[in-house]
Amino acid sequence: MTLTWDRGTILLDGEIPPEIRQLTFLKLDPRVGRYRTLAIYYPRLLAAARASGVAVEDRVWAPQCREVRPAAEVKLRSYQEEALAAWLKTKRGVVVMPTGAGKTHVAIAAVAKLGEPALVVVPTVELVEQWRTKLSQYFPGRVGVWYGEEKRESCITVITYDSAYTAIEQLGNRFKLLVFDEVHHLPSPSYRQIAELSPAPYRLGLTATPERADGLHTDLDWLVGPVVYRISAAEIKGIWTADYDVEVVKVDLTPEEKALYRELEKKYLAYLRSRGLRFRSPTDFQKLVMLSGRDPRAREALEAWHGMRRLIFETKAKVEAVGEILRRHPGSKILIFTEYTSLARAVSERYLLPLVTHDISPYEREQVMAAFRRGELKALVTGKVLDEGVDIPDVDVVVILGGTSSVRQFIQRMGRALRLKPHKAKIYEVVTAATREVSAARRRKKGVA
Amino acid sequence: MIPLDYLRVVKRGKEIRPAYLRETAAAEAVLKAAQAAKTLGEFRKAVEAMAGDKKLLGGLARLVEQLMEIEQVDNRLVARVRLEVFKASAAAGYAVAEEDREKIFQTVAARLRIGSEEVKKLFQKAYEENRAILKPPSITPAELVQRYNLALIQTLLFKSLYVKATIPNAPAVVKNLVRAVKGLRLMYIAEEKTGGDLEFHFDGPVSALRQTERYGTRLAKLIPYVIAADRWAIEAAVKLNERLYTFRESHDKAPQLPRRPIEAEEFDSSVEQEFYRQVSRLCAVEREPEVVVVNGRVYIPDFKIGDLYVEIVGFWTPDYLRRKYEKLMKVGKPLLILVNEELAMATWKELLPNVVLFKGRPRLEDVFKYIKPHCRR
Repeated sequence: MTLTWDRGTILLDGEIPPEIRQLTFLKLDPRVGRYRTLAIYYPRLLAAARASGVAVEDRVWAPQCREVRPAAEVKLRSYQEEALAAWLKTKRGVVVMPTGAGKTHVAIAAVAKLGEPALVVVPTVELVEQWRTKLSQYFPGRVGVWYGEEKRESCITVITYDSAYTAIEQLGNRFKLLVFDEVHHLPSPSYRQIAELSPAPYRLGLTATPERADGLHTDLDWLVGPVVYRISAAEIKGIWTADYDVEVVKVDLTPEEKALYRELEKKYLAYLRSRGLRFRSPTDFQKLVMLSGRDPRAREALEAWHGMRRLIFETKAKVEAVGEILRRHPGSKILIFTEYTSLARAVSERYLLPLVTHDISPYEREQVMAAFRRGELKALVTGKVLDEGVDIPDVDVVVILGGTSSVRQFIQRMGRALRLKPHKAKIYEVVTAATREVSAARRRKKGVA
Repeated sequence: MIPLDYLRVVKRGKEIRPAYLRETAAAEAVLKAAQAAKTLGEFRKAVEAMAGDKKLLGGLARLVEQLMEIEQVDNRLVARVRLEVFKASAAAGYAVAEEDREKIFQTVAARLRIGSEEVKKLFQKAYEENRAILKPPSITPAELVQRYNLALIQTLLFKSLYVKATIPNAPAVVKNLVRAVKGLRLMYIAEEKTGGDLEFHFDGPVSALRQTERYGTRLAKLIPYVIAADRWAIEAAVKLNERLYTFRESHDKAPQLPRRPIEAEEFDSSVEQEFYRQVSRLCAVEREPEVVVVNGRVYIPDFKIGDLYVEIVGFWTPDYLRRKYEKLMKVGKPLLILVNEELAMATWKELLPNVVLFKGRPRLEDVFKYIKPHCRR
């Protein structure tokens, strides 16, 4: 029996005994007259062949390189050592560690230990750069990146989830180890295909919060492997020690904004009432979205809701509030988050602060991040780009200008703020008074406490 | 192609079709806006302010943006200027008061030795919408409508599980189509229908294992190659909002669509060109005469002389020749294979009887005895 790789699947050729043929994950593909399976089943297929004593000619792999050796010793803290040991037992699974605990080093040590070519999948371009820099310290000259315009494959290749979704068809059989940073993204209907179309027997997932609101995190077991190690912030000495002080700053809509808000609210509520709709959870809200596909009045109600939201998140008063905070903290390292790019931009233009959002070129973003890390730039405004895992040392002040009530987002943003010099961190949450947003802020904090 | 957000469809039961644009008024308005606007931002604002179907206008605007020439900006220079501004702002305790902004721009201008207006201009160029429109698209509203309708078909197919296409047996069209399938890393199965038309079924490797929209965007890219044919019909399964629909379209029902010209095919090699030149002096020779379907694959012989297919092979191994021969035997037509001795990738003892070896180029005196029985003038 011969196994070959075909763009995310494995093809079986030659004499195939009945006990193999009856494996449920194999299908006869009439187009080529051969049995075929998703690449993720490759290890199971090999195991089944071994169990029934079938000789296998394995032509699946075209490895990127022969072996990977670190140029320097990877030094780990004790809990990182434990995490690595737990993962090495099966060489599959998820390591759960809080932001700032050094997940990257666990992954680097795993690559060094296995010595196999690795594909590292990360959510954002910022993280691609960060992983490239860190990996290059240990594997100089052997790290490539693959996203957007730059597609250079190497022994260890760092790639975004978006690029990997398509590229896995070309790259899948070149890497025996897959590392998923922020692995809670993986179970989504499209991204999961990265795991499904790869034959890699070794898989490592990293995250601070594996749980997903849609419950799909249970699929991580078969996509990557079960949680093999979990440590909480409280259990780690030396991080998360910074005490934080949250101050809620309430701002008012301007009179014109207020009038517009009330008008939109009236329209929105009138529709809900006319249909007897009540919203208790995000799925209820989906009903309105569905209705808007057919009912023009539902569409208007939905537009009104978006308008209200935009007013709350983007009110001019929030821009003004930022000025006050900047005045209060001269010389501090300040990170400002917004829900909408347009507000981030308004803040950036008003105070001439660097902006890290998708409408700014990757080149400029890179330069800004580097200058911010070096301390040449002290304040930075961003949308959702930096929500996850990007290392920013020594942040003193975090400003949240509206966000959703997602607890994950809040923890991640806090996690960054808490990667601190040993003095008190300050967190400002700027909310619009007397609107729905106040309760969203309450929900947010409840999840943390 | 346009983003899925701008897709407009008509559904009837299980059938789905794009909501085609049948008149030119909207296209004309959007093109006018593009001609009047100085920057991308102005153009977008003008379109947003128009009354009418937002999806339609947005879709048209996307296409127009793809077709116009937009100012190229030196990202490095812009980033450098902006970083200077940010640093100057941080050093001055940020532009907390409005009047501080002006001072900051002036400081940077002095440092970079350019005017402060120039600094402001470059600062704003970081945003796409501040870029100048150098040349609006030079197409008519009717042409834009055609492009838009094609874009709707393609965008609908973003969500397709497979696409079937029926086209006439036209070698030039099929050759381009199959080449595109390979380039996009898709798969096809071909079938010869009664009447001589060819039916193709396109999808990808994973499609045999489960229903997947994975290949949708790539399947959409095949459409221009399909509609290049004089007659065509397509059928696709489309999954939209978790529901499965069938989309059917054909050349006689669809609105007029832009067709890409089929380039006159060059010879694959100078060897082929030379062979054609020599033989055509003696017999009637057809180049790439027709598409032959063997086991679901298409095969286009290099030449046809009477009934005889002639194939000139580049790099080869005896094994490769045997497989090729076996495949073509199924067609039931006589076949002559010409192979270059110097391009052999393995050693051989004996070759099949209808394989003729040549060195450099095939000489007429060596092959004539094979083609003579088929030679007609």
